[in-house]
Amino acid sequence: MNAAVNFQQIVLAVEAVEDPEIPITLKDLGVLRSITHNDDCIFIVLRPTKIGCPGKTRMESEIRQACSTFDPNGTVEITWEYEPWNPNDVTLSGQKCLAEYGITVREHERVMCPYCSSNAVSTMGDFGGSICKVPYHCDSCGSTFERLRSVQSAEPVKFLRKVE
Amino acid sequence: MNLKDIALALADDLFVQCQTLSPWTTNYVDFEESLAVGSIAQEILAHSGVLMDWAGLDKDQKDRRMFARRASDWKVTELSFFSADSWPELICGAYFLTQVAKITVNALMADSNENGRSLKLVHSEQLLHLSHWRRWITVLLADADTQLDVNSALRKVFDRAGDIFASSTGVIGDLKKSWIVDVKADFKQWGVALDPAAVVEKSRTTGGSNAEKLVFDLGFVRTADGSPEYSVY
Repeated sequence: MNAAVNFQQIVLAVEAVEDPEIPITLKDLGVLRSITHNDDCIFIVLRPTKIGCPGKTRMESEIRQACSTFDPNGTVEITWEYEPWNPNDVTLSGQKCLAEYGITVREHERVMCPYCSSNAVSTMGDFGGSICKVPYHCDSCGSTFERLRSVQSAEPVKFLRKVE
Repeated sequence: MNLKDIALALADDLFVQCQTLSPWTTNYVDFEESLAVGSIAQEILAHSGVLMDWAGLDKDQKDRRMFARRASDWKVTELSFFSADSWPELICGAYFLTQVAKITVNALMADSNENGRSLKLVHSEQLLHLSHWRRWITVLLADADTQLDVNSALRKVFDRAGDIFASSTGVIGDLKKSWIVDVKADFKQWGVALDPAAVVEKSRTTGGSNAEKLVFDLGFVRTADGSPEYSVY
C-alpha cells in the first residue's frame, strides 16, 4: 500500500459499505471480518451469511470502489471464508437496523416479533424471500417478518403454520 | 473413480439440477414453494462451486468446466438431466439426488482437513433440502388423491437413478450402500414397495438433446455482455 495512503480512511470507507439488499453495513451484519494490509496490498476477509448469497459480487465491487477512493492504484485482495456465519455476529446497532426492516436475528425459542416484541410467533416455512431468511408470522400483532438464518439454525421447521 | 472425480461429478449433477429446478419457480405450485425451489436452486449452484473448489479447480477452470464444455462432454445423472413432467416427478427426483449429495458430501468431509470446512455448510443445507423433499413426498403419499401419482413418479424416477452410483465396488460401491440404506429407511416409512438395492446400474450418458439444450442456454450466459469471462463462480 502506498505510504501516503491513510489506512484508517480506507478502513472507515470499507466499514461503511452496505449490504446490497438491506441498508445495514457489512460490518454490522458480521460479514466484514477483517481488514489488514502490508506494503503491497490490502487484505479483506468476508464471511457470507449463506454460501449461495447472490450479493457477493456486488459486495466485492463496492468494497473495491471504497478502497480505490483513497488508494486508486492499490491492490485489494478479498477473501470469502466459508465458515458458519452466526446471528451473534450482528452488532447491536445492526440488530436495531434489521428490526426496522422487519428482520430478527434471534433464534429458536428466543424468536420475537420485531414490531411488537411478542414471542407468540410461528414459522411459515423453511424458505423466505431470499436464501438467508426464514418467514415468520406474529400471532399477536398479525405482522409477517423474517429471521436471518444461520447454518446452525438451518434445521427444518418442526411444523408449518396451519393455512386458514 | 477417486473422490475428486466423484466430487466433480456431483458438482455437475447439482449444476444441472439447478437449471432443471429453476423453471419451477414460475410454474407456481404455490408462492411459498416458488420461494423454496428458487432458494434450493440457488443454494445447490453454490454447492456445485464449493465441490469444484474442493477438487482443486480455480476460478477460471470452474468457469471453463461449466460454460465451455461441449454437449458431448457432459455426463450427468439422468436425475438431473431429465426435466420433470409433473410436480411429483420433480420432488421424487430431487429427493433421490439430494440423498446422493448428502452421502457424497459426507464422504468428502471424512476425507478432508482444512479444505473441507465449507463442505460442512453444504452438508447442512443439503439436509434442509432433503427434509423439504421428504416432507412433500410424505404429504402427497398420505393423500388418497395424490398417492398414486407419487408412487408412479417414484417408480419412473427410480429407473433413472441407476447411473448415480453405477458400481457396487470401491468408493462408489460404499456410497451406493449408504444410499440404499438411507433410501430404504424412507421407503419403509412411506410404505413404498420399491427396493433401492434393485436399482439397475448403468453408465452415465451424454444427455443427448438435454445436454445440447443446456449448452445452448449456457451460451447465452457467456455471451450476454460479449465477454469471454463468465465470472459466475
